[in-house]
Amino acid sequence: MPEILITLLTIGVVVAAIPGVCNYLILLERKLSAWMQDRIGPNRVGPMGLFQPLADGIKLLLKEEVVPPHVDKVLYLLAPALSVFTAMMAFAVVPFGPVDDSVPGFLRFIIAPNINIGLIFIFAITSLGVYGIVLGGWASNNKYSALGAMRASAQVVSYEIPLGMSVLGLALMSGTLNLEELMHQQTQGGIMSWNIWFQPLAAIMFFTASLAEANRLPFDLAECEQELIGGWHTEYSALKWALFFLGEYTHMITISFLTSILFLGGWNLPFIAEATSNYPGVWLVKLLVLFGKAFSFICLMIMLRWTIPRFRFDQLMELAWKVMIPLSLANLVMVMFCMQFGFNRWWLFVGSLGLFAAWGVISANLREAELAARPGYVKPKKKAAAVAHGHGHAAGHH
Amino acid sequence: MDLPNLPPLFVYGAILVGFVITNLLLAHLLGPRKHTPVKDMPYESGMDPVGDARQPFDVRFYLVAILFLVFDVELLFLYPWAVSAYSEFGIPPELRDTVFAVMLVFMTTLALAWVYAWRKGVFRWR
Amino acid sequence: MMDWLQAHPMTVVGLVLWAVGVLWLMPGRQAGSTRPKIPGLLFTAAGLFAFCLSCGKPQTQLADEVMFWVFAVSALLCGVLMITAKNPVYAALWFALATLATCGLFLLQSAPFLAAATIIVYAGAVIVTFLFVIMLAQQSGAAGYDQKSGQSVMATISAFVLLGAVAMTLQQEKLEIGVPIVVAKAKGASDEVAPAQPNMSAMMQASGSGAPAGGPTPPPDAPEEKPAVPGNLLSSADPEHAVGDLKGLGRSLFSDYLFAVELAGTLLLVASIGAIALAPRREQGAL
Repeated sequence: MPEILITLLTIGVVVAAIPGVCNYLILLERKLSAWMQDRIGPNRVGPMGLFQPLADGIKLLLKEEVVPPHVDKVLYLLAPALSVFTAMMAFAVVPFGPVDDSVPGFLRFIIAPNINIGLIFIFAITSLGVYGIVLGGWASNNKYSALGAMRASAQVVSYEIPLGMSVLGLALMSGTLNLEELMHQQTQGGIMSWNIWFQPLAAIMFFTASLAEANRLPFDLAECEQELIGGWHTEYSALKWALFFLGEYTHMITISFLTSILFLGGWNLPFIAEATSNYPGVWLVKLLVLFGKAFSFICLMIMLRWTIPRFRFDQLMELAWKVMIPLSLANLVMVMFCMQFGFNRWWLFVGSLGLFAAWGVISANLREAELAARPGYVKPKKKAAAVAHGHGHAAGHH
Repeated sequence: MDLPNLPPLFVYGAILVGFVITNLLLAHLLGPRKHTPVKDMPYESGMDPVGDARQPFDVRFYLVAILFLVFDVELLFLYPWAVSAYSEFGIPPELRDTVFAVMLVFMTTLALAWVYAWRKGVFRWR
Repeated sequence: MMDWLQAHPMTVVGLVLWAVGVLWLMPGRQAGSTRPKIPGLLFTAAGLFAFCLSCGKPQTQLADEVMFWVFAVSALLCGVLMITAKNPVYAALWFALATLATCGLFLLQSAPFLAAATIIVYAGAVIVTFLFVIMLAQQSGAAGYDQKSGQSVMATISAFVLLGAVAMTLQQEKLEIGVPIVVAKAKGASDEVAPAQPNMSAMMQASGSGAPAGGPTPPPDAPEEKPAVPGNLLSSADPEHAVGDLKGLGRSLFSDYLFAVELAGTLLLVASIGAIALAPRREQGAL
């Protein structure tokens, strides 16, 4: 089969599958949310609400699309298109299945293989995703939209740094940023070579920063309903609004695949899908393993949504600039020392935990000092001491 | 073109553009449209909007955006270094010690910029 | 100079037509006044066409040629649209598009990392900062002081004189615009190959230092086997690992241009300190 047909087949499958999968992810999100809140969730359309996404899709397609006269029409239409385009374009270099000889020739689980800047391509494309938000907010000519767009761009811009910096350690260790190669190195070594063992801190930071990039809760300050109605997409309706949603869910899919590939060994699973395992249909198992890992990350994201409350905006920026950037830089320096002097890689695991703990202590102290500088600050005391002190004080007066 | 890997990217990009345009066209063609004065107002939770939305307003964290620029450029220097520092066909082994020292200094400058910004209150909300 | 003028009448005519078109399209001093756009567009298109015809030679492969012209012409066109846009938001967007088109050119030159880096820095960071400023300061149209201080005639003339000078230099140096510079593949590559390496590394450093090529670390031995690429002393390109890819770039950047990288880092430190120190404090009512 010629190369171009394989490419077209892959692209066709991806472009067709992503909107469908996103629709069902929305159902999953609603069902999981309902489960966590002890509700039932959508259950009217089809068995267990399984046809709900179809109904939603048709509704969104046939709804009235309001283009208010006060908007800048060109940019207003461009914004959702851009956010979907960038989100889906980033998926081009993600290997969403095994990329090796076990796969039948007419299948290829990556759209553009052998792009050796891999991850940087993804970062470049997602950095363009800000345009969708900024333009949507500006073009809508609505105060809430403008505020949401401003918040979103400050946030996305801030989290790009820790996102990029957290993978630098991986690049140092593996010597590549090509996703296929990164996956290959881990699958060859088995579970003990998964990057999460050597870069646990980077894994956490990568996942967190990606959540912030995707504007998912608890980082969804740009579109929080209680403050900003819908944020930058307040003035959008029908399919254009759906396009923004499609962009967000595509982003979620990309993130979960990326995290599984970068840190959790891709399709590798002990005993079931090893590099040496060789039984008929092994590629299908590998594919399912990777899908399973990605799926559990998506579930994690949805459950995080109802677990961690939304940040305040200054806390959000502080998390990026005062915690994640220094930590990722320290992590990078640690890996650098380890590689230079040839230490055992397992020290990185210990080091990551140490860094995490140390920075926790330091930033708590810094926070305390900063609070103490504010007027009207009352120093918190240890409970027993406070009680004793209170008694002493009272006794002294009477 | 020297890179055989790029055509799939271009093809994918073109198909995506088509996909997006189809979506926008579908929305344009299928949905009903009926303007009413209230529907055409900016949506502010039912309040009548006061004034224009396009006024100059306080962009907090403008300095953060500037600092982001600096960090972004430094990060771009770090990518090629990280990939080539300790790998085969990368930086020649006899240079590794020099590069190590230089990169330590490089990261120190990065950290210095960050510390200065913190001391000057760039990350503070007020 | 005169020789060049006589030898390349097409370039000169193209530049003049283009300049007139751009001048016509520039937003006027009064916000309300609108000239008809058609003549300006016609002049610009004719000038652009003539200019492009006069420099650049067709390439061997049709696909490459088509791609090159699409990217190059759209970059120039987006540049024109950027400076003639009335609305600063649109101007920023045209700027972004021009950057993307330039990235396409980088891709054709087999420099994917440079393309991605340009997208990240320019399209992703600089222009987003512009949009911040636009949101901060002037949301609808240019502010009054901007329109008063606009010197569109002088600016256009000087810009096109500069462009003419660049075109002249390129044509005299017999550098063929439009022919992608092949990545240095072998050590004893021919002269045509020579510009690849310095270009790529120089552009990487363009954000920072103006240090001369060649790092602080002198070549340990100087066998003088005529290095294929000037200024490329410590790292050598080999057939399997082209200079354009990430690893090759790192190898070249961190062996030959190590000192420049360090300088760039220092410059960035100075820049950030300067920006923070210059910015008015919040207590003064700004920011």
